[in-house]
Amino acid sequence: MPSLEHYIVLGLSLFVIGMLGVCLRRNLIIIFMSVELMLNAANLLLVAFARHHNNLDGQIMVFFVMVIAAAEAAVGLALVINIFRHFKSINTESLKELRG
Amino acid sequence: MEIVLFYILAALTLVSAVAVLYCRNPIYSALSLVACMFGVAGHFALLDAHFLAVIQVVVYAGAIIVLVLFVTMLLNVNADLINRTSKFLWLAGGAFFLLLMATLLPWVLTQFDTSEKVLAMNPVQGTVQNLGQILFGDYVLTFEIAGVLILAAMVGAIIVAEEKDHKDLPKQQGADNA
Repeated sequence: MPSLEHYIVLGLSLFVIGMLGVCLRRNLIIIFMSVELMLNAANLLLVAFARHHNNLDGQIMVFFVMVIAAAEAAVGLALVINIFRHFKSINTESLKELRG
Repeated sequence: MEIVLFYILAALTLVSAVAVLYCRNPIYSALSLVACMFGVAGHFALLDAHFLAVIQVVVYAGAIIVLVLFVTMLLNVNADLINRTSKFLWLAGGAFFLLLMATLLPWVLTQFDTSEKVLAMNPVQGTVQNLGQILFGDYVLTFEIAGVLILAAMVGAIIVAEEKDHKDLPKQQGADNA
């Protein structure tokens, strides 16, 4: 039977992998998917702790995190579409109009 | 038995999470993310969160990633035109991962009372009935606000993504320019 420590290690690994994806990749779509990875790691930890404390409030919070993630996905992808229309690329290297 | 299942699902989740980072083609990354979502849904089912496991597959894997795939295919990005992350950066990322795990994990694991090595024997099951009683009981206001939030996000996304002029649409005979 997996204990809480197993889930903490798994959730932390998933979160750090998502964070590395945001830092290392330059494709906006991949960065967006890495943010979804981080949200999933947080969801996993919430459910694990809900089980640990024998309380369903953690699962309710996961429900609302999924709602927020869906809303963020819609608006974020609309922004990506606009960025592509303006810059003709979704590489973060081309998003440097504010510099110098 | 459950520990074997945990390790299999954890392997699926972690390998597909690394594949999300590593693939050149964003379509492959999206498919790896679907596999990762299925792994996480399996973990939810293992943790007696049955409703959330189904919702994870339906909402995350079935709607959000499909939306990402639609946008990727709409934008028609060539995978090889994006600058590659250098090998040094990948190595630095892996070293950072190991460093973070080595420093955070010993501290995090001492913060919680994990002395009972096994999670609760007869937990509250995360069924639709139990979650519904809490959701529409204690958290009904949050539920309604979440509904309004989704409506606002939908309207906002439509307005932001709307094309202002028709320059990037293919020309059609007799199309109106409204």
